[in-house]
Amino acid sequence: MRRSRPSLCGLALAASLLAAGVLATMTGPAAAQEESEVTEAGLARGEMFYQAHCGRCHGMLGQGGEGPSLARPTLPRAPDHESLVEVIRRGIPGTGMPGTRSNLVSDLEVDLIAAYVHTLREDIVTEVAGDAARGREVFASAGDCYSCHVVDGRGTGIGPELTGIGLRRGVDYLYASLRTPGSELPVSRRGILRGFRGYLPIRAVTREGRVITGMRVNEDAFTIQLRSISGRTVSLRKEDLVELEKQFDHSLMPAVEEMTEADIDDLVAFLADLGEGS
Amino acid sequence: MKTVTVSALAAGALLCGAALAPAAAQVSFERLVNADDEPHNWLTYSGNYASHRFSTLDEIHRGNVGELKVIWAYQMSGGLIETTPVVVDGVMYVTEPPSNVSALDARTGRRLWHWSAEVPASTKNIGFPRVNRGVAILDETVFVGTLDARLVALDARSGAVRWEVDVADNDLGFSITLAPLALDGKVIVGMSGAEAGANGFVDAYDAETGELLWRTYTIPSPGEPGSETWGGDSWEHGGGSTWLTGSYDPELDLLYWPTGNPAPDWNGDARPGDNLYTNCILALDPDTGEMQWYFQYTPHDTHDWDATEIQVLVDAEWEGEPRKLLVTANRNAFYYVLDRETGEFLHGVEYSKQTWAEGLDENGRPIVIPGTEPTEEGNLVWPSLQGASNWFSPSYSPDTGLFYQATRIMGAIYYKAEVEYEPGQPFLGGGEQALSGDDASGAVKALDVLTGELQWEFPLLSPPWAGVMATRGGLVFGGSNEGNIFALDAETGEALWDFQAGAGVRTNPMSFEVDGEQRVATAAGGVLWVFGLP
Repeated sequence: MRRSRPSLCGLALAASLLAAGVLATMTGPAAAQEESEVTEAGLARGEMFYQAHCGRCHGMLGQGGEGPSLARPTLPRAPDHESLVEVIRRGIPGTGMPGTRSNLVSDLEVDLIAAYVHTLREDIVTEVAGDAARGREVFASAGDCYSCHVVDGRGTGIGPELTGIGLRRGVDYLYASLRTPGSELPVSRRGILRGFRGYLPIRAVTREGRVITGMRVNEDAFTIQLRSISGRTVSLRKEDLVELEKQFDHSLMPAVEEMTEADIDDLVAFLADLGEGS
Repeated sequence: MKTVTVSALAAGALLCGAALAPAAAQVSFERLVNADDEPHNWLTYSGNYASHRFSTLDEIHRGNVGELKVIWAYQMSGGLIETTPVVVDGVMYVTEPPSNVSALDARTGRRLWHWSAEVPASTKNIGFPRVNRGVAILDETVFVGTLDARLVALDARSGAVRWEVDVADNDLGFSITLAPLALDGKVIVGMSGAEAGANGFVDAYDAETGELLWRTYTIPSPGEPGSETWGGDSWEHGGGSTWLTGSYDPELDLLYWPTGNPAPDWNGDARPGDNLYTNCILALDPDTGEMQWYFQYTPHDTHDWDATEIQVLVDAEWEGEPRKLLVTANRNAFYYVLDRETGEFLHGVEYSKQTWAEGLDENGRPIVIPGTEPTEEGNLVWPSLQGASNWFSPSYSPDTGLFYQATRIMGAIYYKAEVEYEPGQPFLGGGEQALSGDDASGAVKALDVLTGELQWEFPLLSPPWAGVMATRGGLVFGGSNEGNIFALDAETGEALWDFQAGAGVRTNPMSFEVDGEQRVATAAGGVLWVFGLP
């Protein structure tokens, strides 16, 4: 799955190429969408600046980390080159994404970073075999998914909201989430416990011997907050517990063992189609 | 008319406070040397020249710490708060991001004056956030370094500027984020900039005039001792910043200043050799800046493991003889004990998870495990580039004989890339992808100060960015990224008190006394919190 990385050998060459105007084809919003128009040296330079300014959060290969993965078909907040340049320059208010100051990164360099980020898009897009319309029915009936998930305002917010999930996750991830939910606990990208596993199953035992289970919502050195499978919030102080088990390989979501392969295909097709405001 | 009334009222309050507090805070060098004799004050960044960050106040102790309450809070201007307040006779001096200074009434938190550094928005900060860690005070002058690499002397009573000097050129990436260190008639300052390939130095300025008294570069020029540890012309942009406050021994009259990583950070190919004097502790003559000895913690570093952590001076018995020691918990995950008269390595031991060295040899040199350098494909190594420790302070309690260290337990995938030097641009040669969330953690660790052996640890959810302070009350105060401000039993590590401040703690606690009552101060988010007994 790992894409081949542009060679860094051309880096030294890049500066002289820039000076010579070899990257002139890079100007204009459409240019970087056509990766072929950006020279190898330009991409190498974009990669260097990407590593220096973006890699700490988005991962050196764009695989994500503290920030979201950039190695995916579409960037929801930056679907085209122009918007990507804007996001890199100005950041995204209310998120961890800072802007870049022009004295550190020039306009041309932002352009090259954006061009490089375009190359991070997963080059393998799995064909979706299922029928999305039928998947919607499976979601509501056989899957009973609305009992824990919200889509477009409908459902119950116990598990992750799935509105727009098709923009945030790849197809492989969706299949894995359905077949082995515990293997694909999402990592929180928002304010609460950012970078930690979301929906982590917890089993806690109090001094009185009471067993409490639920999903971790928040945690610090002294306390932990859970959401039970019924949606109730449970607040615990760690000093009151004799056991606190974090079940990293588990999920409270049931695996889809009862479903046929066709049902699963249809469900994935439905989920993959869920865009923002779908 | 109304305005006039309010102003008159404020002036009256000031006069009233002045009447209660001792007149004119004259913080002589003598007072700084004997800072331990004034536990009601906090006169230097680390509390004393030995950098113990230990308060001999004991009104707050194991038995009553559970009753601690917020006495006052002070809302700072936006940005990350890493300041340690300095408190002198009822007045608290704090820095606010990026490099501004406020004087507060230590009793109430009300502002007495504010000075804005007017740091231009275009100021560069390459490789670190736009922070400031505090001021120094000497006689009646407060000293602050600025993000755009100025050193400014302010009148302690009014905040009026006495003098201002340009320490270095911010266009090249130079910055100052540390609290300066005031000595006898002079003020010492270091700089940041290695991530832009700017070469480090330690400066001494005349406290009265701002005249530069000496400058000691951390990277030797060709022909100077140590220059043989740099290949080709790599020394020209060799880094070696001096970005955290050093320590001072008045008896030996030696200044101890730690140095940072070589540049470029993650690609050492162009700089074969040990790269002196990066990642060192330098013992300097404070009158001339001349180096008396050095010890290098991480030769030829390729993981950005600055050695700029606080260097703690301890007098103790070593193998039956009284000895002057220097101890530190290095970013590279080893704890070191040196003789601070000679620089001799005495002992070193791993204090946090690391996967890069088999240990230290008899001279303290790490026995590096082959294949732990950054690569183009990425190489997972502990600790992460932020290190097992970092700028946040440890604490040493002479009462328990323990060295307390907030510890980051975190690995990172290190990448190497080609890089060419460009003035004022990042000069990194790669980067890292740190493990995060549930794959990393933190702890407050209590180490035997002589052996470095773990005595206890208190777990933290994530790798901390907050320092610790021990007190004579048998407590260790600390903070977490998740907003916990807490007190632990200094002997056992048991949690005795905690407060959820609602935002990450990213500073070092300190303690002072006002009206005969002990206070503990630390910042979380944009708020400076001051606690005391009800």
